[in-house]
Amino acid sequence: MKLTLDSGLRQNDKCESMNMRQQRLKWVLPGLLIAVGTALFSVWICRYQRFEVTVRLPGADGRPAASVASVGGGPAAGSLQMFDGKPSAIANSWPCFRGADYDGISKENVPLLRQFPEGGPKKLWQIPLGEGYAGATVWKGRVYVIDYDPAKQADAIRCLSLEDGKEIWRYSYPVKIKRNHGMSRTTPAAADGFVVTMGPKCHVCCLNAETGQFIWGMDLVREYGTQEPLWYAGQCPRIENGRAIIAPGGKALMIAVECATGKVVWQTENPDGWQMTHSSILPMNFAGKRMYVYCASGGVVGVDAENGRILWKTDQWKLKTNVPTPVDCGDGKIFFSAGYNKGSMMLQLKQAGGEIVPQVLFTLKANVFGADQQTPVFYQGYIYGVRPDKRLVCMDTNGKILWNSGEANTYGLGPYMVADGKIIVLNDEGVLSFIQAKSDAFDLITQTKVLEGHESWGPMALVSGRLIVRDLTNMVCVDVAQR
Amino acid sequence: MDEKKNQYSRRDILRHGVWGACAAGVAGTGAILASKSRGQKYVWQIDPYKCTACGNCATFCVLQESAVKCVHAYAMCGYCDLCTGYYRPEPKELNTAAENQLCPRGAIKRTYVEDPYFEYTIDETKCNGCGKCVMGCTSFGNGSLFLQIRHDRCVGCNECAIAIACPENAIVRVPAEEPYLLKDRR
Repeated sequence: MKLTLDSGLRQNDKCESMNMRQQRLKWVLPGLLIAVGTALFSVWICRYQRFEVTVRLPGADGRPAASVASVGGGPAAGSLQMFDGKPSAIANSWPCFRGADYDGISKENVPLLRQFPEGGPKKLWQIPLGEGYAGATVWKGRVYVIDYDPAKQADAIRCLSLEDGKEIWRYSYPVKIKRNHGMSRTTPAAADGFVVTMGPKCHVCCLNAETGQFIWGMDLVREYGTQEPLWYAGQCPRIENGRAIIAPGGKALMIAVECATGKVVWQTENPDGWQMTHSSILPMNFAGKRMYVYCASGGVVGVDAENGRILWKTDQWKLKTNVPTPVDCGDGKIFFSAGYNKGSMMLQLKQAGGEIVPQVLFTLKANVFGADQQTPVFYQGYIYGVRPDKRLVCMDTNGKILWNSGEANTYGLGPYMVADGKIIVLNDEGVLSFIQAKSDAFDLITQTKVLEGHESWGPMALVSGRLIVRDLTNMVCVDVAQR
Repeated sequence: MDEKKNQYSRRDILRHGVWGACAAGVAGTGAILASKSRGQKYVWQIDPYKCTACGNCATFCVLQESAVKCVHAYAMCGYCDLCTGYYRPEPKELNTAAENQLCPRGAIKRTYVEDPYFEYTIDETKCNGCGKCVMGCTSFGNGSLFLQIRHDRCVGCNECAIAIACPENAIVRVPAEEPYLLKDRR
């Protein structure tokens, strides 16, 4: 019995060792195959395949390490020329970019044409300009425009008569710039006897609005470390209570400068190092406070108009190449839009614990609503603007599109504003359209060509039925009033 | 009897007539084909004003590396520092680092000309016709970058695969003497 048990145990041991051998053998073959396969693959890769990797590093374009910040003596080195133009007796004004209330709406009670006459509205005057998109400002019968004179290589602040376009005076200061999608592209601000301009190279200049006498100037690049925006500065200055309000970025996010003296009254800190964009400052009221809202490169800031203190800020909306200005939609709602596929955003300001807190209500993709270059208009509860597909659209403040102008009516990058209940739109090729400003349907009233050139993108100004428009090289004043 | 031999029967006339007609038909067809082959030849090309740079050209061409390449109308270019055909949206910095570039293959070379201008040239050996740069340039720039079928590569299929795949019917037949549809300032 014992023998049988022992032999049985030996038998079992034998079986176990055989099983183990089999187990080992089961792994040997696949292992061997993997090893041979890997070896063959390595030989194939190393011998027969070549992977060329091109390293793409900064500096391959040959850009110089640093460019010269600013050339020339700036506005202080300028000179004044006088001409024989006389101001018009028309007292109404369009004192800055987007008009007196910064909303792109003319409040004048002047009925506009319902049907353009054959050949278009009466052309009152026309002047040639250097290449650009700079718009006009009108104050006390005078038209102001910042132009660039390529022959003299100078920024030229020109004062014209609203009556006939004749030049009254011109203040020029030397600046060397090259055409880069035009040259000048800002609209002056005129108020309280001063005119303040922003040049393509971030030169701020304050002149006596009547005589053209130089009062003070600033080179923001040199004085504030402003980074000159791509394609030159697009920010249009503001004047409020005798102070010029400018957003330099760099050392100061925003500054208020006394127009009469050039003294900096306050400046806003810039701890995040945000830089200047093409957007302009929106003055607005909220919770009994006057504030200046600005889209800088890294976000949006609301600044106390009294002392320059930051009331609120957010980085929910940022784009270095932002062009449109924020739109005040009332009750603390601010609407932002931009090009480069950015789309749009509605922000709500709220009060919480004595602070102002911004809250995003909604964002929209560019194909729903995204104004590339011009600032949308908020009129009677609705937002009007031109999308990247070039269609004019009407939207409510909840982001619902109510109508679009369709494929047959497109407007591109041209300016638009509202007057006499009509949306006035200029397309890229200088065709002027009047459209009923209403939310129920797109209703084209009349249209005609008023400019012969292309890229008619400069913001418009409207005073007593006189509409000032421009293309790349010409400024024209047409009479669009129903007289 | 001889008279009868010299006479053609109606069957003969019919037989010879059929042969004659066949010969004339063959000769006529040959002549038509020959004249056609001497006439204008056509090749495939992309109409840049219809093209939406959808990307189909990169994948549907029968060639492993598409015959469609990006080309550049220099006269239309703004030579901008921030080129939306070269840089992806919101680039970290305006330099040539890979993470800032839109082209997945680095097929666009950027060269400093003078302040503030930069020149952009296409390296066709790297370009696969994906159209990403064209989309960027058309949407936000001057539209100077566009796609064309390069005839040193195109094998001239009778039925062009990318013409079938094109959602905009932008691929058309053009005379071989003028095989490219170039863009200009309109």
